[in-house]
Amino acid sequence: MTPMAPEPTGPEADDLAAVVALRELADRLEDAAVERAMRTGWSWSQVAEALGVTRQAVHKKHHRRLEIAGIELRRRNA
Amino acid sequence: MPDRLDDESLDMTLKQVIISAIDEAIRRGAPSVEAEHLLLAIASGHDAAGRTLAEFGLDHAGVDAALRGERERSLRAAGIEPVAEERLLATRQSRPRWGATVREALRRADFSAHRGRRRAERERLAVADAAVGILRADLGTVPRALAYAGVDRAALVAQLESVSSERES
Repeated sequence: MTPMAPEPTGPEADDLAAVVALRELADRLEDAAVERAMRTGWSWSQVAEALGVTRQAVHKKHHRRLEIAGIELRRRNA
Repeated sequence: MPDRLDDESLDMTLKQVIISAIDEAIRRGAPSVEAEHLLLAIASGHDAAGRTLAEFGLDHAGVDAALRGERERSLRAAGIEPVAEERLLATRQSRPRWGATVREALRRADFSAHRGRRRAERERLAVADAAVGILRADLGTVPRALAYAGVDRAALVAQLESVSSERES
């Protein structure tokens, strides 16, 4: 059987590309939203609760980046 | 580390292009460096590869517009309107990871074709080879962006290959 050569802009490709675009958008929106919340004084626990993930997960993912941003982070367990 | 800072040639080397691709990824808030960032970096150069891309409407602004158009269409396919850039502003990680598409593009690029040539010429041609590696992808962000922008990808690849096979006089 000859392997099919799908078009890059066909309906299946559109759905798969939508997944890529949504992931990218979700990642960027998360970075921006977490940073904004922390700048206005939210704690890691509050951000984690709002995102529905553990405090450890959100800390691990964003803490270095927010340190680079120079955001004064509220103390542990706050 | 760049080891050819004394290079007399004004042509970009692949190393410079890759460093600039990392910058493109960071600027766009991408968690990984992908083929489209490498294409943007090549398009911002004025060497043979950059000029060839520009002939097809793909200077840096052209590639940027094509990529933006692709993302907007893809989001609309999922019923999502584009989100204003100011809502997406965030401090970025300084070191995005290497994405699968850029690895694949560099794997596809045939750098060995110019093995017999002088080093400066090999480095000059490596940028065009990398561009061919990116453009040979049949599926994904770059081929979609180019298709929607109306770029004849096969003709562009042929043109880049002819640039790459020209001998320096």
